[in-house]
Amino acid sequence: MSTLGSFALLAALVVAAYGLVAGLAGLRRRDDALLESSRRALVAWAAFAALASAALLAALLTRDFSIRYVAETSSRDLPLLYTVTAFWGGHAGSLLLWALVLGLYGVAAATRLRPSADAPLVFLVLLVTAAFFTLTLVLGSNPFASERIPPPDGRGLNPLLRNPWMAVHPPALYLGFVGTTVPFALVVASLVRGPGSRWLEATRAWMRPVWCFLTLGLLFGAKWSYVVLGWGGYWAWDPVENAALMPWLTSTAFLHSAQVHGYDGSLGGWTRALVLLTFLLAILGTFLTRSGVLSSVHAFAHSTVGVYFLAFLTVASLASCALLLRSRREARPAADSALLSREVAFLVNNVLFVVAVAAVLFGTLFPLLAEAVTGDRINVGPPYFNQVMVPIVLLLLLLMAVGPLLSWRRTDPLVLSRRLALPAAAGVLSALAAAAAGLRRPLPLLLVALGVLAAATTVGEFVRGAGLRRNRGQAWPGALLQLVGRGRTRYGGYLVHLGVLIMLAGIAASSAFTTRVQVTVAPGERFRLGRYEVRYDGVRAVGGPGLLITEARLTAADGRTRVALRPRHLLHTVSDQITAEVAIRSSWRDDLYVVLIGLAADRRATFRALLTPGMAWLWTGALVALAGGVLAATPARRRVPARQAMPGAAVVPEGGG
Amino acid sequence: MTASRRLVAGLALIVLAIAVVAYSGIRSAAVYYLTPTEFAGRPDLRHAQVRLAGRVELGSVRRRDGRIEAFTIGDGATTIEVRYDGPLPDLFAEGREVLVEGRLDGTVLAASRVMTTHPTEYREAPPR
Repeated sequence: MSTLGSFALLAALVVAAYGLVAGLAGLRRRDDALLESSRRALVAWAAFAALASAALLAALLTRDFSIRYVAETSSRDLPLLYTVTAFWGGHAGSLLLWALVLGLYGVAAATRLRPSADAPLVFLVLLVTAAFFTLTLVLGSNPFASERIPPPDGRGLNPLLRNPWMAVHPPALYLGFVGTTVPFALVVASLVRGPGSRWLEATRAWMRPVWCFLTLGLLFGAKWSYVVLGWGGYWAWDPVENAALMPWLTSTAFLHSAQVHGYDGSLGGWTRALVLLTFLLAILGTFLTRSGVLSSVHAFAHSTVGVYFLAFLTVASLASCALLLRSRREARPAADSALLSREVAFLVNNVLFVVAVAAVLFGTLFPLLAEAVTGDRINVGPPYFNQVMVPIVLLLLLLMAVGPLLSWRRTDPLVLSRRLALPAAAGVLSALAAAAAGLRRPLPLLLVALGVLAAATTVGEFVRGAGLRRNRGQAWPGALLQLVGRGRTRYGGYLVHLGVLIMLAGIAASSAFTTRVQVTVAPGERFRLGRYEVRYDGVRAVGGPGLLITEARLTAADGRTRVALRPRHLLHTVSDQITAEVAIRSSWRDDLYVVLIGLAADRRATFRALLTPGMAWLWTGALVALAGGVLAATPARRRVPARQAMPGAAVVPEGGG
Repeated sequence: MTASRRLVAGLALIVLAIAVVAYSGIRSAAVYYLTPTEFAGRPDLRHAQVRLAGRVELGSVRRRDGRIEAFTIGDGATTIEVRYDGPLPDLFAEGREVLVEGRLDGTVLAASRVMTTHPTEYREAPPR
């Protein structure tokens, strides 16, 4: 298998190099046959990347421990799901996954991109990226490198990765990370070609599913952190998490600013810059998580892959800047817009998103800068990120509330205040209700008021739109369905807003009102956790392949309900590591979360127990946002233009709003 | 002042305000990250919040009522005693690499957080 895999990688490298040469020559000589050959080289490269992936998968499934990667990430006792997971459980394999996913996108681009003057350039950019990753795989981190003395049973996958959420997290995230390459290529092509390129619609169409995958990746990562790591949280502002958050922020900013650019052609340079930045941040994210640079600048020196990434990142950044500068005469400011207008709201939104990215980037890279300058290793903790993000989130909430009510170009303040009256009243009343219920601190109260205000205007958009259709004689459900179906991007976007608001409610509740205890109890003893009284009933041992499992039995009762909880300790016999399996009982009100953290010889056990409100809201909100994203990403069926279908009918502007 | 100038001024103000928040935040949230030997050689950091990386010394963990309350970490050359009564991460054990965050109290490090390290990543125990 290692021969086949190495061959596939080398062949991929040759094919990518050929495609680059053919593409460049084809562009220079205006030779369509050469350009077609370059397009086919991209598809061939994808096929070889897939072949290499198949070879690695086969090696994992047949337990071929003569390949070092297989020996280090898997073992004989590993179940099938995690044997497949081991593919991306290590360094070289995750790079190969990058290449495999790029191959998927490459084939999609080569088959779906309409033949246009931009297309050959797009293929060239994809080929450059493909060549870079293949080169890194061959020279820097080869998944098919052989192991001199193969271990008989393999060293096994890191136990923390043996979880279904971790199995799906990297593929989802990589579909997002790698997916940013196509929008990047589209924008680079448009910048190289100059005026006349119809890049905007294509870029938006590609970025929407990519945004969904990035969201899914973040969601799976948070879920893994919550379910597996046993600390009761889901987001720690860990550099690895920040790496995934930053491209999500810039792609979100792009999806907003693209609407302004689509409306009046302004913000062209800015909108393109956001696409370029999204790709660069995705590469930076891969670099940060794959180079070892995060633990220390010194560790970076030992990583060859890091140097490749840094070089690629530098070249891509410089090229992006040069292209943007060259085309800056195209950038037109919105000349005659009033301050109170939708485009200004979008602009402020964009600035906030970019500031958020800058703040996260600063916090993530600050330790590296500090170490490089002063030699002191420094760590930046969550307090920094929380402090910076709170004002940004509050301002974004305000925009989310007011933005949809603003008209393009100019909004009459009187009209706005009339539209805002009802939602504002709802916001103020909610804050008053929260204050009456005992919430006294000003920041959470402001969050409640703005959140409800934003939710009310968003729901109001659905009601208003459906109301217009109802006036034409449709019933509510039909009117709503048709409204959403006809304006997918617009109402998909509003659905994302609603999801984000539900999520924020969950985040606010869980970070403000969590009850935690850590207790050591003997069998039969009880302890209190919020409204629950929890009884520790005892422990028992359970067997498993390669595992010694100790299971604690607890019963939680709050007067009305009794809940059985079974937190476990897993001793992985191959690696001699202990992991905990958390017991979680989730409801709309709150999550009961119990971890077994210690067991004494006399069966006394130490538990960490949390009662966290709002967790179900957080996951539900994320799913609603994702559904909105999928809706917006679903292309509308090709319809006969409205004017032709219904002569004389009023054309209601739909979509893109 | 035209509308676009007011806009630019407003945006600049927002960016500036958040930059100030970020700067003050990073100063208060930055923690020095050292080995016990490096820490011993830095008297200037005696009162600073630090994060020390070391191995839990064998036989050094002191328990009371089944709970860990103190242990010693070392890097081969220097050891330092750690006092801690908060939650410990799942992979905590004698002989394992840990990160300990806290402030020096006399000669003992009063820890506010203990984390375990993995080859390529670390994960934090919950804040107290």
